[in-house]
Amino acid sequence: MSKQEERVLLEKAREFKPDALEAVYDRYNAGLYAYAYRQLGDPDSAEDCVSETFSRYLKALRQGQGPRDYLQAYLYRIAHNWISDRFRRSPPDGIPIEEETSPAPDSTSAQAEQNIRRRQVRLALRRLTPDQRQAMALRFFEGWDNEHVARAMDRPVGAVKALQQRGIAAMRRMLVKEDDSP
Amino acid sequence: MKEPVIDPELEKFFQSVQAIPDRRSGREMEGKKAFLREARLMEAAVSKAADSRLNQRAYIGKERISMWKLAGALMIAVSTLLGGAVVAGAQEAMPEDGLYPVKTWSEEVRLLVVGDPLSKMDLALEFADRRAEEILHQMGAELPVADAIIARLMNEDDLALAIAAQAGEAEAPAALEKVRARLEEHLRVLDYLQAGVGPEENALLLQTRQNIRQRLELLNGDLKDQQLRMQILEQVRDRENQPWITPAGQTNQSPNGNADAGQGAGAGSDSGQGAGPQAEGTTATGGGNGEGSGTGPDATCECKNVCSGQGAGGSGDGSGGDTMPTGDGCVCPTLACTPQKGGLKGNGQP
Repeated sequence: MSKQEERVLLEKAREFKPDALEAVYDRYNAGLYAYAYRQLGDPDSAEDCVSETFSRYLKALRQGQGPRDYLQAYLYRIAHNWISDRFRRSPPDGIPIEEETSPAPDSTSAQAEQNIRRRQVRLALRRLTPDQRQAMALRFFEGWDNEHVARAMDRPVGAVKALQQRGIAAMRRMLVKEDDSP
Repeated sequence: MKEPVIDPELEKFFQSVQAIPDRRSGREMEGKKAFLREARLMEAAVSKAADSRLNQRAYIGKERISMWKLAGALMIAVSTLLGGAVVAGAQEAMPEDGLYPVKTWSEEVRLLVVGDPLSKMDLALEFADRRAEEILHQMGAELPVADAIIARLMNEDDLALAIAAQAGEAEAPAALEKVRARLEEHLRVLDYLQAGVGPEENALLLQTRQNIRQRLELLNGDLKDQQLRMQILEQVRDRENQPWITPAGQTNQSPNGNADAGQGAGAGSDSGQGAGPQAEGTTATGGGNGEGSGTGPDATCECKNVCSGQGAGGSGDGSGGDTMPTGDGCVCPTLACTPQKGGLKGNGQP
């Protein structure tokens, strides 16, 4: 979608045009779900995050606010705030050890190992500062380039890279060390 | 600055969270429907607020109303009693409008006359949506949101929930799912209201949000489970025992509250439960659709819901059975009951 097309869409959304709002939902809900799920590891919480993100977007529109462009960055920012609030409220051991979902592992032990690894990643992620987590998640889990990450975080690209450097170092300390331990 | 890169060891960890399980069937569609419904609600509220400003409609309590306007409102009130056309017009009224009591009164009557339980459930949900819309409208117009609206919203949601929980095996899961979706929306509206109110505490608002959250917790379970449906009904009944704030700001041990004025229409359930209004809250055997006037300004509203063949005498507001909130602000919890023999219809006196 071109920038111009997005502006037209968002203008219609500001007028509460149902087809525009539907298009917004269709375009971003799956990505937001994946973003939330990767960090939370729980389908219900991820669904809550998606619905709350869109609900907050509507409330912003209702108050005559909301973005006129870069909606994706705006929505992911809301989702990030929601997830950060969630982490603040719930204890770390609230993260479920989920059912196996990835296609690869053949054996049960490999599956168990994968589950443990996922859990470790999520625990490590939530130990980062919110900014580091956002910079890491958008870049390395969602695959955004740093221009987009910077827009979502409303920070210069250099600052985003610095956050990622620190995030990587912190996660390496937590994960690789934990992985090597007996 | 150099582009940060992750080493293979860390990459192995990051890869582990890449795969996303299939989303539960239907959740995306449900989410979209809820989003669009919420948008419709908000759009309606925004449009009405803007319309009010454009037309310079008078806000009672906020702006002066000329005698001519007041006389006009009185004329309309009189004609409302005479003709259905005005009642239809009142359906768009907002809480600050003179015709708003007509709107709520007509809703009570509609709930009273509808026979089919699932139609009644739909109607209760529609009215609850109206309450949500009214809350958003009041917020948009920067008017205080009356507790009576919040209490009504909860009552209407509970009525719908009770009917859905008592529906047949085949219909109950879909009916409960429908109520669940609406409860989520209504909770969002109330959360929004709470955010607007700020740290200031509103006991009724807090309690109502808590109630809805509790219901949603149950509704996230297996809706085909009979036991769960019984728990839902219990939860609705339990609301009677919670401390409550009446629209007049009094705290009661019962959500029924005290009525400031003793007149209103009592609406027993369509299935012969509940009891008619009495001057004092007495319990009587039998039940029925009650309609009648209560006592004077000090009347106590004490409407209890009993679904076992015993009707509880409501007083003051004339409530009984699955009565909806009355015109005087006395609100009673709502329950839909199974048909019983010996139910009275008419004036509701047991």
